[in-house]
Amino acid sequence: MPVTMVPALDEAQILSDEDYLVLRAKQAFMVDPHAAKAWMLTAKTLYPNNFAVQFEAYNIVKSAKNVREAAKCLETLLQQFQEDAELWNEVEALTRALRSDCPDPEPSFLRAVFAHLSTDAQQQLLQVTADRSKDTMEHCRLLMILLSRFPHAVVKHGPRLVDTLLSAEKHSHFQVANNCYRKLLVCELVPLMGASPVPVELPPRQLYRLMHKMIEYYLSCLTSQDPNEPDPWEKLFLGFRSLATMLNWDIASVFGQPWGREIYWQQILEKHEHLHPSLDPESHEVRQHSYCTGIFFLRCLHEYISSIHSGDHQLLLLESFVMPPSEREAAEPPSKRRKHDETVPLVTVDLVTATSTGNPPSNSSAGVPNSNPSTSSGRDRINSTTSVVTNLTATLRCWTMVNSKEPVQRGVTKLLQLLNVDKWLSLFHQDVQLYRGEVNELVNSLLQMDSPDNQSSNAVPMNSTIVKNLRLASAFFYLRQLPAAVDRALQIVGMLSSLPSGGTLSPNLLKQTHAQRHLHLLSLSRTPVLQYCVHLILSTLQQHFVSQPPGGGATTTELDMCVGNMLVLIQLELGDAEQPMPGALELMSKLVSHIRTRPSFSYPIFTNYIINTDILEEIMHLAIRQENPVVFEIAPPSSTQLTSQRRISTRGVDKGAKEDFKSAMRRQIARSFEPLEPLLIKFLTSEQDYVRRLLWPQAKTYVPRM
Amino acid sequence: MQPITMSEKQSLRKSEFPACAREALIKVEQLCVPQASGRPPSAKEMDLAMEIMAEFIFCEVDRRGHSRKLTCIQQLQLAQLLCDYFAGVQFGSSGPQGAIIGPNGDTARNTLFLSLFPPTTSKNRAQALVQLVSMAISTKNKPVLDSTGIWMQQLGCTSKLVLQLAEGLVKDYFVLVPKAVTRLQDLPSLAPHFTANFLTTVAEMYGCPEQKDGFSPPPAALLEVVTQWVSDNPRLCLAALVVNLQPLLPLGSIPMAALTPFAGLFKWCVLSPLLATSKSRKARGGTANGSSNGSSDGKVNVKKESSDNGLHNGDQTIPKECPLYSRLHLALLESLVENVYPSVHRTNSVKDVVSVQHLASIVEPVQNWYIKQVMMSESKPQELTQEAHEALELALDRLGQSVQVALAANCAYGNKQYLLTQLDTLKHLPESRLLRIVLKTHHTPLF
Repeated sequence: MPVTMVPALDEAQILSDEDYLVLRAKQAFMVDPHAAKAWMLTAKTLYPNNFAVQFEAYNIVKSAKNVREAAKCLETLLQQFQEDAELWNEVEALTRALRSDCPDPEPSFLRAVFAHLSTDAQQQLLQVTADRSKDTMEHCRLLMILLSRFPHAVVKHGPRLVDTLLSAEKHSHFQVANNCYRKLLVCELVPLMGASPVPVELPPRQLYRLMHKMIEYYLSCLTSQDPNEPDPWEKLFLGFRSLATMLNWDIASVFGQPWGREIYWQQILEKHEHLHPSLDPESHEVRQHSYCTGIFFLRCLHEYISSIHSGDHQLLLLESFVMPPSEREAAEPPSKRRKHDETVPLVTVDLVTATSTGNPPSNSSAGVPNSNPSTSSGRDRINSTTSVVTNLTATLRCWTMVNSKEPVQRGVTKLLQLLNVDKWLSLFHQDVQLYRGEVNELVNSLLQMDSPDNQSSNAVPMNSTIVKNLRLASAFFYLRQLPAAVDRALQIVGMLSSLPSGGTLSPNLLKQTHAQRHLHLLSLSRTPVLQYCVHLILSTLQQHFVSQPPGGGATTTELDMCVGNMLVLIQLELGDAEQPMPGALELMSKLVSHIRTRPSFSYPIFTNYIINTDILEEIMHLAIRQENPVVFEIAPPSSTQLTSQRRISTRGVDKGAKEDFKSAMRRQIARSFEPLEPLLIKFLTSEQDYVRRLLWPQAKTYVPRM
Repeated sequence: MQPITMSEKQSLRKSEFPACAREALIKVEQLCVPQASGRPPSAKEMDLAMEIMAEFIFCEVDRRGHSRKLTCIQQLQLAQLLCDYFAGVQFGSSGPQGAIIGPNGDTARNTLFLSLFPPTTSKNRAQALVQLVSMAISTKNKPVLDSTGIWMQQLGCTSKLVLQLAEGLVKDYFVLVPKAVTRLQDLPSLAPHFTANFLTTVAEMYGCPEQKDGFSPPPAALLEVVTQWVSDNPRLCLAALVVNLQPLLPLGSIPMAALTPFAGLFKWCVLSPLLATSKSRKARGGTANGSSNGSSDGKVNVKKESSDNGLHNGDQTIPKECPLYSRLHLALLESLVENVYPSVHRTNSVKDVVSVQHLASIVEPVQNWYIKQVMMSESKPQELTQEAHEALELALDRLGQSVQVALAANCAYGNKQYLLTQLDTLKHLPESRLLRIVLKTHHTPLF
């Protein structure tokens, strides 16, 4: 029967049969997806070994967004056509999608396709892609995806991946521990190995290396405050537990618990007490204990270091001042006081929070380690996150434990050296020395920092010089080398401008305590540091003043100058009359009583520096009272004064002179609103001689030991 | 066993319908279902059973043997009663007298069912069967549907009785209340064997050679349900092959071979574009031919359903037939492939899914259509219209795809050479490139 062809699909006539079928499928796709699939199904059965046909089938179901079908096609392709480049483009797009969370439709679809592959195909796909990858990072990442999806493969691939990552990091010459290989190793591989259903076998040497790398990584996250690692300690402890489990450490379980310093401490302490002191440092037991104690110590130390940096201003532990117990308290029977160990220093800090001002006396036992475990642990749990003092004492007691057994001490020291935490440790060591009263050692180490080597580096910031001088001043004060202490204090006052301004007066510098010593965590800002220096000089002058034998020794002039200086200095702590610092009022009245006993009082710079109303009123009262008025000379002779003018003095009976004195005092009272801090800084810088002359009577010839 | 005698009939006569029907069912079960001894019922017992059924259950005759008929209400009551009886009675385990312990409850139920509706069933009783199954579908009565599935297979899915049943069901569910189709969605999971056999029967019903053009389009609702069933249940078309009937049948019965719906439904898909074209051509032909539209088949008065199939608006990219056929065709192909590469692992695939003769029977109507189209052509030389060309292309593509996938999936049984020879007669038709590729692929040298 004669029939002519409709000239449709002209070009199709020259296509191969395979291409013809693919073309029909593609054409049908736009009009009727079902027909397209029917064509593809037919083509697949006709040419099961033709890549183009099979791949087109995949593309068609892919454009139809049919995940299940696409997965089926892809699986067939993976089984049959592993060598085809076009397939690998697709596989690479898929593995790229797996590694990202890109919400675009294409990657999301590919991820869904992957999820619908059989587990065998998933594993094969990742394995083969990883093997093909020339980039190490790529290779490792793909293996990591494989391992995270197939925990059972960790046993096989984990150890090899550890090697790969370690050597990749080594050959990349990174300067920092926080690098991409380390991150992959520590953050992903270690937890995967820890969670492996079948224990992963690694040689102990390798495990220790991993341990170091891991701790180093998280410590560097801590110091750099990496925003991608919000909770490094949590992760570090989990990783530590994984590795400890792989090392068969029985203590591993301790590190699986949520963090609580006291809970950990009790368990580690118990292990410690059962540890035989003569064990070989390389033994399993000692190593285990050294690492656990070391890492626990580091966390305590970090909590302490962070807490002294957590406020607006850094805190610095310094020797502070003890108020002798009142007579009534001193008369208490000793048995009542014995519950406090007097050799343990009282440590105070000014709380920024409004809950309390410093450590109330009831808390003064915070420095006593485990005086009563049941109550102290309960209290510590409450305070652990808030109190700097408990952080300090907890770290101290841990440090004491570390050093109590020689093999452990060696193990921990070695670990700490490897981890390069000198910066934290040196700060802490100084605190330990001060706390334990090993102050000579502290002074020596501080003075060594003064060596020309260090100074030549020229990069010593002003702040660290102030810190050093504060430490030295407080150390000399402790050693009763008062002139040296005052000298450092005066140097600090000269450098105050380099400190951040602000801060408030501390009510805790002077404490009444049964303990022999008082340490204070001073806030490093202008006001408290000035207050500390002033208090230290005041305290020194007071001792100088008290130590003078009655009726002998110091000349009247010297004595007046000493009292005058103290009056100037006390003004800071008297401050606002409503809230004088503890002890300030008492000291002022002592000084006034002293003047009262004298016929005259001469302090030529009085009008320059004394503006406190209370002091001025007392002086006024002493000068104009009916009986035995004290004769005051309180202004220096001035060249600008006319000869007719008199020195401001109450000497003589000149009525005009008395009026002059009164008006001079009124002028001083008028100045009482002047800020005190600049005034005192000016005093301690301009009138240094007034202070020095007293402490070094033969200043020209006498050089104090330093 | 208590002997059942003619006096039983006397006692049954004491109660009225439907109470007597229920009692009669118990008696019939006792008579037909082999007892613990395994002895099949004697001819005398079977005769008695037949009499009881006729008089007390279906009420076809009165006590004097005069024929009578149940009222419509009574017919429904009977269907309800049978449904309850088949669903509620633990056949074989606890008979009415507690003495009947059959080997298998399903077997007992099937035995009773086959006895109630023997191949010689009268027209009225066939009507009762339609009502019973229709009610079982709507009440999801699995026991009745399972027995019906077996009954269909034993009688043959293309037998007259089964065709009557299918017709009745189609009328109930797709013609009278087209909205009822949603109730049928879970039928394949409820009663796969019944659904598969039902599919085979309806496939034949609309695609049998006696039909004009070899194919008459099924109601749209039926097409939709069938398409959905096959798409959603890739194993549905194979269901009848999977069931081993032997243990479910009365003692001594021979299981009949299953016939799958594949060939029949493929025929729908292949012939539907051709029919759509010839119909639209007729429609364009003028009012003279209008009378033939819709009255060609009195047996199934559903011709109007196909009117939307003929829609065409000149845009050649839009298929001129109902898009469901394309989906159904794909679902059938996927079902065939599913048999070979199951998505869920199965131990072995089913063989002998579709016979080559059955598949080859699609060729003839295509040939006939082509010859008719060319004859009707007014142009010289005689050629197909553009529209007819596209229809033919679609039909040949679908035929080629069906044959190819069936052969590749190893689903066809019988003499493959016969199928290829039949296909070869279409080779000269235009747009048969796929057919030529299929022939080339499966061609085996004769020497």
